[in-house]
Amino acid sequence: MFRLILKRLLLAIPTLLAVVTIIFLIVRVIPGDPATAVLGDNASEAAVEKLREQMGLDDPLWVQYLHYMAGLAQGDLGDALVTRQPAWDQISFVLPYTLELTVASVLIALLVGIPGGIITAVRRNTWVDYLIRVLSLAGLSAPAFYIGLLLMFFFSAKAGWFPAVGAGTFSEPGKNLHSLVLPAITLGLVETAYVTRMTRSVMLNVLADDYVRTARAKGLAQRVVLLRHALRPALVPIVALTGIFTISLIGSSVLTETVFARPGLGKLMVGATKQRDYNLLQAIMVIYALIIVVINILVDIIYTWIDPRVRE
Amino acid sequence: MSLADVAELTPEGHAQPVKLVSQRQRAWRTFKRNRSALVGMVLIVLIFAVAVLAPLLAPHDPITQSTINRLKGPSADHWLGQDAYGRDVLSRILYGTRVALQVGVISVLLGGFFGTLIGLVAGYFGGKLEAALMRLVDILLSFPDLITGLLVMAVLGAGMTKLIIAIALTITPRFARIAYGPTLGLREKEFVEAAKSIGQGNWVILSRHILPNIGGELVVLGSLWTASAIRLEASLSFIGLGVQPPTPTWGQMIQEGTTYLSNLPLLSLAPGIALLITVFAFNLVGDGLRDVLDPRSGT
Repeated sequence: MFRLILKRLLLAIPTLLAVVTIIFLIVRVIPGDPATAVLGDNASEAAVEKLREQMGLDDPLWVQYLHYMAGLAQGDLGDALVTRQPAWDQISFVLPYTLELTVASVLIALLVGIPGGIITAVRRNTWVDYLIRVLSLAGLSAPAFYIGLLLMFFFSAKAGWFPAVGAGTFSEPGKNLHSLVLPAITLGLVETAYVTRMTRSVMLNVLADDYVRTARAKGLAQRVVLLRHALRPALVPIVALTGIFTISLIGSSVLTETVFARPGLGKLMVGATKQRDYNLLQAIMVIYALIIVVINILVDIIYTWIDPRVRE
Repeated sequence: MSLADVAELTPEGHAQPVKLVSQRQRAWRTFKRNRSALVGMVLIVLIFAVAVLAPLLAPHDPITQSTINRLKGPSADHWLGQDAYGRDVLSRILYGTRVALQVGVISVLLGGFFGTLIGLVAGYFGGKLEAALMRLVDILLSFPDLITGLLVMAVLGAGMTKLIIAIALTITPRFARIAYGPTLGLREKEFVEAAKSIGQGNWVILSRHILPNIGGELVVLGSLWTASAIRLEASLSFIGLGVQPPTPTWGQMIQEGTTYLSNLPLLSLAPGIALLITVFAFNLVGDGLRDVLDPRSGT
């Protein structure tokens, strides 16, 4: 297992390098001078020139690139333009909020989506199947921010059960979790839609297999056939695709964080974009790339755990 | 290429020789039997009609402000009320259809064209070009569409044309991936070899012999991604990085309405329903088309 993780990590390095390089180049293509962006349009030419020199903007691109990569290799993501503090300070503050939101919504999606998919597969072409399928297609169609607004309207504005905005702090776990409920359900519903649809189609394939018929012929109970014989092989693609959906979930978390005014990586990225803080933007993109690599490795680990054949 | 070959290559995998025309008819029959897809199709036609006829249908001008009448609830003259600038919400929703469809359709056409081209070229010619192109595609694919969209908008700045470019860029690698796989297999087929042997050029082979074989999948992808493109447009406009005011867009209307969610929920919820129906319709049709092309999946 350890060797597998190590191998995956090593394989991820070239991808990460390519991603970082592309992001570095994209950010350099952005029109507008970062030094002017920091000092504002009214700054004197001399001041801008001085800052340009300090920031190393006068160096040739490849020198800047080597500087940047050398910093990155030591874990230095560079300084944010607006705060002039290390970008990592802001990222490390919001990262736990994004992670708790992601984990909670993936859990919701798996707990609701897998049973939902199994039910629709078993009760194929009945009203339950149609209902859940229409609901999950609606879930795919609704942008996260709209689901969030609906939940906010019914459960905060009308019922007053949950806070509409904010995320509390980690020193007050009760408040923090209370604020997590609506955002987590928002994102969870989006992902539930994906998981349900996928589980249904995977289960339909598996249920048509010979060994499922054999299990039924032996007289095993429906529950045993479904959970022991059909679900286990079905879990392999489910895990793989859940990994992919989780990555796209990170995109939707931008919207959820905006709606509920929660601190988070997505909201930070929107802020950096609006303030034209390209260094912060670049640092956030690197963190996103890392998260994506970690999710992929996690998927591989769970894979080998479910399907022993992969281990070889 | 004989008719039997054509039949063998259909995505359905049926081996019996059938005429191309009857095959299309059969596909249409399957599609028609899929009631939900038909509902989606009817909805799309209606939505396009609304977009085209918006000036006739809208009871008021969508941009004219009337600050005395700001934040008024529904009335006989303004069915869905008036927003923070006193503009008629219903008229703005009807006009918003135009932006949604324009961005959705144009970005999918652009992204679909370039993506398919990249996939075909990489799959057909192979070699270093293939490795470089597909590596780039995979990297682009690893990022969530909204993050890519945000990054591109950060580079380009806000605006309708830039929004279309940003969304097209997120769509391009998706089409490249789908076009690439089958092309790899198809380039080894006898009919491609036959076409080469009679001296047909690469571009003729790509467009006449390979493209038609993956056309179905591309259409499905196009429909599903039109849905996603409209959702992306709304999301970016909601964040404030999309089409700029005063042009009415659903995402921006929803965002502006959030401030008044508890007193005047219609300001946000009504444009959201329009958005939901539109995205839902394209998804229904995409799903239906997929069932037609691959009867084993879905129902």
